Amino acid sequence: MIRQLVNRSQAWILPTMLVLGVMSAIVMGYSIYMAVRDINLIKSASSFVGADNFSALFQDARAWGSLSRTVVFSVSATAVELLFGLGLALYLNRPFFGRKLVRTLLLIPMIMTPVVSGLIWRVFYDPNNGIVNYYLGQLGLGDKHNWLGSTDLAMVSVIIADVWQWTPFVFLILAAGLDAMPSEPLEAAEVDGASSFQRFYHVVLPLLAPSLMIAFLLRIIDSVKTFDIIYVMTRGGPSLATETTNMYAYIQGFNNFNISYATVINLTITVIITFLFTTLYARLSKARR
Amino acid sequence: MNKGAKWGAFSLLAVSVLVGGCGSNGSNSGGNAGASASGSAAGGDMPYKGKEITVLLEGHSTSNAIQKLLPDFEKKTGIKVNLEIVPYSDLTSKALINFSSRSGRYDIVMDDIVHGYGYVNGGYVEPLDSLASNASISGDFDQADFVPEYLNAMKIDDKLYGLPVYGESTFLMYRKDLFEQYGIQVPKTFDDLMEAAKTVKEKSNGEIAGITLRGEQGIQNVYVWATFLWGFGGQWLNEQGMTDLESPEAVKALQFYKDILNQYGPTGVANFGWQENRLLFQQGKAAMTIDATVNGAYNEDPKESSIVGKVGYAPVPTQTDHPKGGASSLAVHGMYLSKESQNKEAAWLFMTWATAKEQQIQSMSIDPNSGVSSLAAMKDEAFLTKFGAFKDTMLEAIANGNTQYLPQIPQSNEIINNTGVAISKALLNNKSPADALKEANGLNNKLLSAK
Amino acid sequence: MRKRNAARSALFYAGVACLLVFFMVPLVWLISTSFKNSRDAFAIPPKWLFQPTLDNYANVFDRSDFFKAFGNSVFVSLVSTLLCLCLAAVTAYALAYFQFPRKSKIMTFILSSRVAPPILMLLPVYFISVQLGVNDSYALLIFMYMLMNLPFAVLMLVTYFEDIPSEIREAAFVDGCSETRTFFKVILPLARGGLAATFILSMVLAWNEFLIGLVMTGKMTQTLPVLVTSFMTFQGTEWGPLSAAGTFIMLPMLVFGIFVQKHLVKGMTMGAVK
Repeated sequence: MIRQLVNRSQAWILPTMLVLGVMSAIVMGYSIYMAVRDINLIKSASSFVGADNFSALFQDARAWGSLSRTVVFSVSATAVELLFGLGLALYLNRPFFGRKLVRTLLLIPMIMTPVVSGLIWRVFYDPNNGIVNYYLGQLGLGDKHNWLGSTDLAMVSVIIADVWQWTPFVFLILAAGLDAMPSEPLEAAEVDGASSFQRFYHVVLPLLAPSLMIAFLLRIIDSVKTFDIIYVMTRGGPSLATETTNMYAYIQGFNNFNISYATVINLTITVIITFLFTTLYARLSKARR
Repeated sequence: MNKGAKWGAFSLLAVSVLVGGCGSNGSNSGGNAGASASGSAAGGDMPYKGKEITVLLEGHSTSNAIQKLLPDFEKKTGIKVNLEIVPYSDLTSKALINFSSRSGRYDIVMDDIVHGYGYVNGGYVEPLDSLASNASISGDFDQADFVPEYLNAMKIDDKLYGLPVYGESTFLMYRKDLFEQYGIQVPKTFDDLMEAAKTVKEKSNGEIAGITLRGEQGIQNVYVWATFLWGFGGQWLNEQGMTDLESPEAVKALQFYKDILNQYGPTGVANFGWQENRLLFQQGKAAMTIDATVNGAYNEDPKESSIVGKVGYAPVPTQTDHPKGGASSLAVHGMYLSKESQNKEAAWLFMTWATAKEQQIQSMSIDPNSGVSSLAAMKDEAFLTKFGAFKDTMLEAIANGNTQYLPQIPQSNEIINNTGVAISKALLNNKSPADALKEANGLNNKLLSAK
Repeated sequence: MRKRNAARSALFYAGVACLLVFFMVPLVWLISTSFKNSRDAFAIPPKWLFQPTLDNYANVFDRSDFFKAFGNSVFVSLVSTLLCLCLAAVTAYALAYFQFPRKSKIMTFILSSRVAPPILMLLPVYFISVQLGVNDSYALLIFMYMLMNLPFAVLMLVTYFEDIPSEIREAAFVDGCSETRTFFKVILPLARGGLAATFILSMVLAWNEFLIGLVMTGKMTQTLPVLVTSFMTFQGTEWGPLSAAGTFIMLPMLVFGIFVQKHLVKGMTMGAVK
């Protein structure tokens, strides 16, 4: 009896599905309840407002602006992290003196508390007292760069900080993928006289695809949710240049105390992104087969 | 075989740790309950012995001092106090979430008066007047010792809602040595200010910024820009209670803010918060700044500053002789008492103790700050040696401080946020000052008319 | 020929050095700032050599709540990560090896439950927990962190399991192993590199989490990131104590990282299979 149960896949899946399913149902249910009311923490009572919050969102230019910045931030940060992480994994995928140490040291950015690393980057980027401008000046590359104080550079600066923090994560996943890679296909390719680029493109890359895919999915999902570093570095400024949807929802909820409206923003973005990801994920899984 | 056993043990350990954790948590609260039962029996001259209160404080030097001195209070009264210290920026939302769920978790919350209006409006906090008139529990409460402006700021509709812990105003800080060198008079009007900034920047060949001010979007830039709003004769709210940011005075104030910073300000000013602004000035890289009075302490601290003794302090300049309100701020942080508190008397004892002069004087040797709310502490030797250089100008600024400097209504946070975005847009030339303010004004009025 | 090799290897090490500088400078800055007085901390040009002071550490350790918060963080992140891993391993095993209807839908669901921003989850859970009277408890925090890491852990473990050839599993069945035995004695040991990697990543996320910690914790359960950010005050950031606490908060993860590094580097046990 028990043996039968154990052999049925449901028994293995059930605990996780139960936990996630029940929690999702509760969170969704409660969120919808909040979304159709006008809860604001500085008012002691709230009332039913139907779809008012949703129609307000559609007319909210700041919300749509934040959505497009979310896309810019997530896509570029993830792309850079994947490329940089892949390069790093390939570069360090050879025996050399101190390899173990280097790999350990590379874990550090990931381990640092994001709030703290955001603050550090903010100090580094300070145009007058920061070490970034100081050392760039020493190298003759100009010491007056306005990293966080201009609309053009602020987003780039925040992305650099995110790349610094999360490239090691991508590296870790890809390095594990490279380590696990069987050596026969590569050796065979070498025997067949494939160039190093051909070997990379036709052998390594396809074998690394599952690792790349998981790194991509995890990073893009998390970068949409990026909050801590933006919060401490710019608070979404200057002139809203770095205000992502998540940041805007935080301001609406935790600064303006419009709990219902913040919930509507979060619900909407969650639905949009869930839709995008499920489509993307289905495509990617199909492509793999 | 071995491996499997290891994993089994692993998960078993996890479960037992969890159970152990819950158990210890439970026994802890049990222990407290026991203590409170025996405590109330012991009674005596400690009528609140065994009571337990929870206090939410903002991360601040005063909070550090209170935390250090707390054992004295617990010994004196037998009241157990749980302090929670969280960052200022997250404090209000945390307090409000707790208040609105009626969790009764916090008996006392320390916060800025800007948020006090929200607490009062939501019906979350208790007026203190009846407690204050109960002499048997007000031994530590000395009204006359508080800076009068601070205590007044804590009153809404003539009811006292909080006890001031900390306060500040704003003033102009300038480099006496540079002013002398370049022959500049202390600015009295904003035109003087522009002229002075220009002279410094030009005569120092761009080496020293004429002026530095906060530009970071949100409360940071609004806190300083409001000086210009009032100084040019503008105001936040008109007689009808709507926002008045489209007025010519407000536009002039923003145009000026943008011009002076973009022409004579430092690089990167658009993301300057309090910290960046203060550092730049105290490192001698700017000749003037208008900011909080507590900055004086940093300018005069040899461990921090390279301009000790070189700084002059003056009231903020104004352009008009007939402002609608003072151009220097009055920012006060106080302790509020939750309506849901089960131990209001014990909480009151703590509030009065924490803000009493004895503790404030002691805080001068623990973690000194010039924002103390006790007049006696301001006469203390430690206060005078550390902050003497700017004490008089600071008191003058406080006396002229405008309680309406920031909008004092429940929705003020959102209005400040909208305005901060407008200032930032103008600073970066993404919108003209008039357009940026028009946009903010529209958003604010939509908010205010939505009941 | 040899000369060229030497030049190439010098170039290689120079590249490694550049990478390390980029990734290490913030850490070095943080640690050195924790031993500096505030004037040295922001000096330009940056001072890499200075008179060290222990004041900042004394300041932090002096706080009555610091070690309590440290203990809370260790307990909460460790237990939540272990629970999460137990659940995730079982689920990932089924997802990797079993064929059953709607498998890809289930996979997609698990993935999508990671998409929602934490704020969306925060308020409902908070309000409900107040109703149930379970707020400010370890159990709630542990549950939340477990939930936060669960989808991620499942996803990572699936890829690690998938890399283990299914022949190995079938061979175990031929030897007479049951499904459970195969899982515990064959698959898990083979995937220990992946387990270690998933463990540390989940652990780090729980260890550093701020927003949930801020709202859900109280005096009893306050975690380190919440405590560390209390040095960000109305009057700016108190860099001295913040850098000291920030350094201290990293140490356990760093030691831990070095400890499991062996597993991470070895990665999968493919070598043993061959």
